[in-house]
Amino acid sequence: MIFTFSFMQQAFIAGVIVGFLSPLVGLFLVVRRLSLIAEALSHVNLSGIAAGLLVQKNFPAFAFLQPLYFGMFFSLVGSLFVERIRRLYRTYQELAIPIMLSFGMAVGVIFISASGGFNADVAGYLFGNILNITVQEVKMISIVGLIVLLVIVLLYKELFALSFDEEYARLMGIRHHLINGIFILLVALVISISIRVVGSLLVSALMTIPVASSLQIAKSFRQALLYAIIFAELAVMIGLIGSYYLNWASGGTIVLVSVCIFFMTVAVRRWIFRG
Amino acid sequence: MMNGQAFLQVENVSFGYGKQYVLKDVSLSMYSGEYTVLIGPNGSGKSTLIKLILGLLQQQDGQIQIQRSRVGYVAQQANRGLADFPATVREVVASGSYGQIGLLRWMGSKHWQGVERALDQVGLTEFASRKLSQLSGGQQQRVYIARALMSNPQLLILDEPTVGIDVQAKEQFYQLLKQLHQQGLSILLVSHDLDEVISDVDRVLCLNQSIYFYGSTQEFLREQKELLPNLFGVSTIRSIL
Ligand SMILES: Nc1ncnc2c1ncn2[C@@H]1O[C@H](COP(=O)(O)OP(=O)(O)OP(=O)(O)O)[C@@H](O)[C@H]1O
Ligand SMILES: [Mg+2]
Repeated sequence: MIFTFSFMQQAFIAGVIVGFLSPLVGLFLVVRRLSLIAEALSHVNLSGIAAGLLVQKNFPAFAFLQPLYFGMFFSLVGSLFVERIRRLYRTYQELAIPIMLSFGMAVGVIFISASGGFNADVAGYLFGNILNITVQEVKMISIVGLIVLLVIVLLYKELFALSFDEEYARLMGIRHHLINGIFILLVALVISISIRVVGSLLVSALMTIPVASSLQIAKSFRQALLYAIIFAELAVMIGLIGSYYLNWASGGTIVLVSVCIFFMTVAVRRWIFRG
Repeated sequence: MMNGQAFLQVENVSFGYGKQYVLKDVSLSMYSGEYTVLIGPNGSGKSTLIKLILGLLQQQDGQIQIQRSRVGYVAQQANRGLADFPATVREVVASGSYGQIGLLRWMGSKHWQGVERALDQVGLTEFASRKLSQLSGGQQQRVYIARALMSNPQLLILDEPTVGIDVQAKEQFYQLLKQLHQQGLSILLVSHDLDEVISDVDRVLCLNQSIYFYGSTQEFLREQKELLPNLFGVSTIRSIL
């Protein structure tokens, strides 16, 4: 059995955590029509990782500073900017997204070219290389994952109210600036820990596709959460096993399975409505 | 009815989004148990006044006194954009108490009982587990009333709640408001359906940048022949519709 390999165990632990948290924050993003924020922040994250690779190459003394931490730092800072820009334009909130996305991409490309161009390392971060994940990285993913989960459980009420009707939530005295700020930080954290699993190019896919599938059949918000998590975990597990045996990129395989699940839910829904 | 302390007091309030005033020197007060309808042409500042009362906007001049935690609100076109949200009627109504429950606390059985009571009050008990998007426009508006009732309000403020609802559903809707009023709730209703509600309300407020008429329903009916042509350019209530 493949689980007897310790690297496969590590990959599964990381995958299960990311498969749980991505759709969890993803659902709140999708219903607020902000799912592209994940896309923008993943590009910002990539620029941080590129900066980390550059530092590792030029200052071997700092090799202990993993590029993953650089990515996390960049996307945390980026998320605060997104929230700022979002408040600037009340009706064009999504304007923050292309601004951050292009900025992140531009900086990323510059750093990557400065650190010697595209190589296997860069490709691993772009497309995900979960089979090479280290024990230390899995520890970091677990700790960050636990924090994110705890905060979402504690703020579930407020997040629901703000997502459903922000004006009414404000009216009820919910501290919208605070909660929105915390939430966007959580999104940045989830993106940072997902990079290893699906890669920066596909991070937002794992946040949105399982949610899209879930919305096809969910009858309540709780069901939407539950199904989205189930679909994401299914995609991660089938994808991981598939990528191991087929020797495909893990990120791509996971997202491919996710898309298959989506089409299946569409079919199921049609079938239910017809029958 | 006018005895005791007014629980909503608007004094000489003026407001503009830019340089121009949208509201000028507006004063009004509401007492407990009162049902007031607020009318005025499009753009006359009705929604703006409501938002000032709710604290969603800040007035430039004047004062507003109100206990905001005891106010329920149903917004103009509340059902737009939210309708396809993946939540059940029960989940939406429950969210009306989230503000009062406060940070880091959860719904208790007391709150869930409140949800069922609010659903019962608006006649939606059998739809509680349905998705919001599977309800008609009129039923959705009832959901928002139930949500507003969750904060156990003294005053219910509704901004054109019946836009896009058919005549029959409208009648049922105003019947519901009348019932809530009879149960002791104060209501401030913004509406163009003066004809439908005039027999239910205690007072009429006509607004067009400043207050044009503010008095009892009887006074209004006596003066409407002179009032309405100036306010709307028409001579009877029926012709506004
Ligand atoms: N956010 C805003 N920014 C700038 N001007 C605004 C804004 N909202 C409303 N206005 C202007 O303020 C005036 C009053 O608007 P308000 O929405 O209060 O009118 P209303 O009486 O509610 O109209 P309606 O019957 O159409 O709902 C209008 O002239 C409108 O153009
Ligand atoms: Mg209005």
